[in-house]
Amino acid sequence: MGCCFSSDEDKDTGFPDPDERTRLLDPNHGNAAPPSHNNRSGQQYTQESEKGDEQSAMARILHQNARDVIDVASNETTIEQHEYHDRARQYNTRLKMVLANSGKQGTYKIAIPNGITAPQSVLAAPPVSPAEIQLICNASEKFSKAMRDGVRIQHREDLVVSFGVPVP
Amino acid sequence: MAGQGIERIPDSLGYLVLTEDGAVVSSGGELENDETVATKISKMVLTAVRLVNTSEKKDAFKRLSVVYDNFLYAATVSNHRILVSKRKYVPQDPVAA
Repeated sequence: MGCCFSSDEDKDTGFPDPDERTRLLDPNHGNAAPPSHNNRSGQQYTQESEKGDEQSAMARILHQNARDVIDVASNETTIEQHEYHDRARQYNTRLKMVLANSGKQGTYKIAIPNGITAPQSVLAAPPVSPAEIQLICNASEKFSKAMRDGVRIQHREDLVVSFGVPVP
Repeated sequence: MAGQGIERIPDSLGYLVLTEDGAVVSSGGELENDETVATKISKMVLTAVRLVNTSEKKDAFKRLSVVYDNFLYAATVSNHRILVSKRKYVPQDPVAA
């Protein structure tokens, strides 16, 4: 309970209960060959010296490809259909918990209201009149001017005033 | 149904129908596949929607107008779609100075 990041043991290997940190592909599986960039570039340079040998170049590319490809289907830890749903539900619950704790609930997706039923009539309605736009512009200009020049805050008394408490 | 009738608005120069996250569902006229305008208008609509925080139905978000000298963008929300129409703008009455 409480902290969602409290799974302290690394469950990458073996077959524990699946949670959001369980890897879908077992890294120890034989198919996932370690990346060998240095090795490969070296091979390419030697390759360039052997001009005309397209056949062996092709074979090498195929071989390299076969080594690099992670064959998902051949992995023994296949996830069943119902397991997908279980995990999706689990992740959603975790996500909700995290969002609730962080106080950012719902901000990851902004919901727009249902809106109006006849959009075309609203969009086709006559535009806002220039006089109204002018009015708003003038008003907001006055407001900002007033805020800039006019409003001054003077400290007079305590901001927090307690009622019913006898002043000593 | 594609444009929900907004392609037939008089004085229309173009239209956009967007999903809640701003993806273009359908478009036409000058706004055909205009993703720049789509992104900007949908951001403005989302801001405007959040600005109005009331349960009163009559005060809810209805239309967002972005008015330029010769044209305007009118945007509204309906059925979880953001609808944008670009219209010719001919000021009716002279600006009272």
